[in-house]
Amino acid sequence: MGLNPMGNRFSELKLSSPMFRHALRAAIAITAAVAMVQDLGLSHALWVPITVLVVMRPSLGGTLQISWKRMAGTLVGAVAGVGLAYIPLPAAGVAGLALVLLFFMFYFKGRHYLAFTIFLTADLVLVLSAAFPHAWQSGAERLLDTFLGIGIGLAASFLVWPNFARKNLREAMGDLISAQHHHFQALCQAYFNEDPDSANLLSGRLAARTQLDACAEKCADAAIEPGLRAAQRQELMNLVEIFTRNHRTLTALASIVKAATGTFRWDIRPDLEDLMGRVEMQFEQLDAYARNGEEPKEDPKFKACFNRFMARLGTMRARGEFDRLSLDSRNSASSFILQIDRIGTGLEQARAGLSRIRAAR
Amino acid sequence: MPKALNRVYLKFIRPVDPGLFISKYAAKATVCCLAALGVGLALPIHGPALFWWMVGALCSVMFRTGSTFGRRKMYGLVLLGMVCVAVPVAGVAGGAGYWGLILVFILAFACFFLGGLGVSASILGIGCLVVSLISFFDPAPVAPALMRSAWIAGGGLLSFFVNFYLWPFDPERVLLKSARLAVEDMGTFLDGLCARVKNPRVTDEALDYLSAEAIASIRRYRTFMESFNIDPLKGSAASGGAGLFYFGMIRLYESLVGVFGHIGFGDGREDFYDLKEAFYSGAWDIGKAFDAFADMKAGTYSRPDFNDLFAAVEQIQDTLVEMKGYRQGQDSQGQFMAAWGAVSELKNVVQGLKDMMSLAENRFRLKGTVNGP
Repeated sequence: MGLNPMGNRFSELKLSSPMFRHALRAAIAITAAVAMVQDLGLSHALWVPITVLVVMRPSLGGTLQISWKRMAGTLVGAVAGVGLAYIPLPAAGVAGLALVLLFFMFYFKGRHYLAFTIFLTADLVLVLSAAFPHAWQSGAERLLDTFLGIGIGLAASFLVWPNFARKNLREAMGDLISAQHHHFQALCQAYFNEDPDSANLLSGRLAARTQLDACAEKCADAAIEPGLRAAQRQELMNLVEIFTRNHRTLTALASIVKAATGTFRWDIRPDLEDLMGRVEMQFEQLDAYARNGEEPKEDPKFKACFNRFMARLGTMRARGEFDRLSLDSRNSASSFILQIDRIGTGLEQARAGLSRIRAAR
Repeated sequence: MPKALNRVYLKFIRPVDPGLFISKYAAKATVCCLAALGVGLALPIHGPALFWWMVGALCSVMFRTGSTFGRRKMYGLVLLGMVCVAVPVAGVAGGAGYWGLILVFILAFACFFLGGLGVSASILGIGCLVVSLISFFDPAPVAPALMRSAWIAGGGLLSFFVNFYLWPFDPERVLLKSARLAVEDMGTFLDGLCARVKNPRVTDEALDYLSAEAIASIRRYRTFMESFNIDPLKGSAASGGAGLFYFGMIRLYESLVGVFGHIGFGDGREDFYDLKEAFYSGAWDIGKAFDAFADMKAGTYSRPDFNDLFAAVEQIQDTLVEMKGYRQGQDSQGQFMAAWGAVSELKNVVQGLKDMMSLAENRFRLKGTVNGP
């Protein structure tokens, strides 16, 4: 956000800005909902705009995701609330039950939206049914108002500058690849250093994790949107899995880097650096391919390079060149090399997955 | 905790709310509302005034935001202030027919546009908009509309007081408890890895789940540190610092993920049977050390004899050396590399656990009682 977030925000006050469009879209939908409930004279006028407020997300996929949860949660909650309202209980019993439901509403807030909506609706319907006759009416009104709110929210998402999550996927994926790349670079440098900077390595991984979560969310949003084929949806989920696996490999790599003591002085170091260079090239090419479909000019030939490296390692071992080294040092190097292979293979798989998504268009 | 209750906790509550942190938050929020209701009824306040009083109380706990304890207090007061200004305006605008829609539009636009500043701004904006809409749909002349602000402020401040002053957190207890949970979850992850060594049917998905639980626990510890204004990234082995114990946990977790990365060594190979047995037995003993450490209480914890644990790892290494992997050709190369990696990472786990126990002694002023694993 920079040093002056408020200033940056105001620079977004233009029609081409996605943030501006989202705010305008949401404001139009909420205002339309308020106007509509005023015209219709609904008894619980607030419920419709609140539903619109909740379901409006920056992307169409996000709106669809939250809408179905809101709809299902309201349906279950309304039925449960009406059912509870018909149990003959004294006022204290109703109050106690309402408190229990309130507890669970707070319990699920921010953790499980579907469950949160169920408890919120059930509590609301129960309390209203205690205050007014015809318990079923409160449930039915809640249901209808929620459906109306979702309808308005979805209509605005589809009609006012529809923002498909898949359009932002390239950037999200590019950012993720770039974050993993930077973390990989830092790990490689730390491996050859006497005293790796743990805080720097950790913040690099946290940054990569943040990008991974953001990318996974965007992929999930994109997968629910209309316009993608089933194979493309599946491929998106596979890509998230590959990037998650790569993140795990980077975590394992960090463990090896921190445990490795002393600068790496083996004769094999130039070959290892070459191998790492190939992986870096893979990262760079994948980043460019994810962002703008740019085909690489040169093939990194990671697998061939890795096999060559392993063959050389075998020859050196047969000559007894590693015998002077401690067992720990050799173990650490073995693990390191294995993880490099995993990352290289993961990047090849990601490249193939991206190609399949593009080819399926 | 009685045995039966402990079983219920382990089976039903632990998986969704380890440490009961969320339950306590929910109970606290409910108690805040109840306290506001009790005081409101005792004053006595009734009718619409009580309604707005309760809106203020709910607003205080419902739209909770801020990454630190201090910020949470500040944002709570900011929200109450914003709501106290917006509610009377919305109440008056509600009676202005279609002209009132202009205010709704402006409020909604501001809420979503400024929400992009961050999570806190977004939650504050939504809170303000929701309460303003309640007022908008219940139009009122100026004086009664202004009175709403007074009721909201009263209920909100009462709830705020209960939340932050009558029932505050004890940082050290919370940190110790979350540290215990993190150690416990890492121990469970190691148990899963241990099972995987002998049983390839233990899936990667299951281990991924255990890994995610462990990292969630470590993150929880970090979140609590941040909320008590302790920078988790502050500290290094050379200079010390508050974040050192957190780094210890991260280091240990990385080693466990390292073991996970190599755990499939020798799958379906008879010649790896002895090695797998030795690995299983060594890892199992280390797992018991985790369990003992996870039982740390204020002042004390059970410390295993690390010489025995390191000796167990050495024994696995010896078994592996005796297998003479380098003579078995290229086909076995991957299997042996994975096996060496697994052993190396297991050693890191033991070292990480040892370091973490020393760090825990400093961080929580604990004293280790030496026991076997």
